Amino acid sequence: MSKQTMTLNLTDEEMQVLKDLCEKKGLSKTALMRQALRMYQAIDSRIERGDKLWVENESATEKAELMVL
Amino acid sequence: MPTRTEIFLFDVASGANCPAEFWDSIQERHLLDLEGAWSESLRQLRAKSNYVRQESSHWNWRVKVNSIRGQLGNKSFAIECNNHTQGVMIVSLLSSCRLPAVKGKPLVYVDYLETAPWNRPSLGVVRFRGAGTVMVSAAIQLSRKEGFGGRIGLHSLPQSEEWYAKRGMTNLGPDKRYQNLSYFEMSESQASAFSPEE
Repeated sequence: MSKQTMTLNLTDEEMQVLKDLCEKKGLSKTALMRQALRMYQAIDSRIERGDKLWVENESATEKAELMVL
Repeated sequence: MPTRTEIFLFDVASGANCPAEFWDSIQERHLLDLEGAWSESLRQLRAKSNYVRQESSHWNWRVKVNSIRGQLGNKSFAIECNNHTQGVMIVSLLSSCRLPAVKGKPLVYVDYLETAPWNRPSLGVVRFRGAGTVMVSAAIQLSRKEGFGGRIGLHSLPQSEEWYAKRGMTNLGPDKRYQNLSYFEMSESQASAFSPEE
């Protein structure tokens, strides 16, 4: 599969979050951005067909709908 | 365009390796084979007195494949040999590890894996050996390619638990949020033992 390269402009804060997540997840910046894109597409597809996204904390028995624009 | 890679499955009758093809996505030809030859084989096996009910018999692969079409977070695979589909698999790239040492790190999650009815020891017939191993290896390779270190996870049907345990996966026990199916995970080191990096 062919690959394309792009330049991504991020603020210092965004870059720091990217680096922190890469460290936490053990991923390269490219791998993390690809993972984020997959996740965004998956959530968007579900929302588009009428599903809702919930976040649940099992120990605190909290459940809240996550608003996705 | 799907990519095909030459592999081998072990032909039990001849005792020799048989050339096979590993496809990097399930195609219409595979679905037709599942709806035709696989269904017919299961129908014949069901008629036998020693038939063991197959826990995956309700899976509808056409629906499953259609539901992931165009989704970057899922991939499908198929193995062909002797003009028939010998195994199929769908994986997700959106799951995280549960093993304490790597909790929260990404892995390749095997959503569905099924071998042809004529390749299942539980049905008393094994024509070709190796389809399941090829699929697990493929999940590990994908995990490495995506930077996940070979880590994979899955929920196993009871009939397959022993098979995954024998492949060195850690059984984290029944998952009450997933029909009480046992959750298995393979760490980076377990993946290296199962399928060493080239």
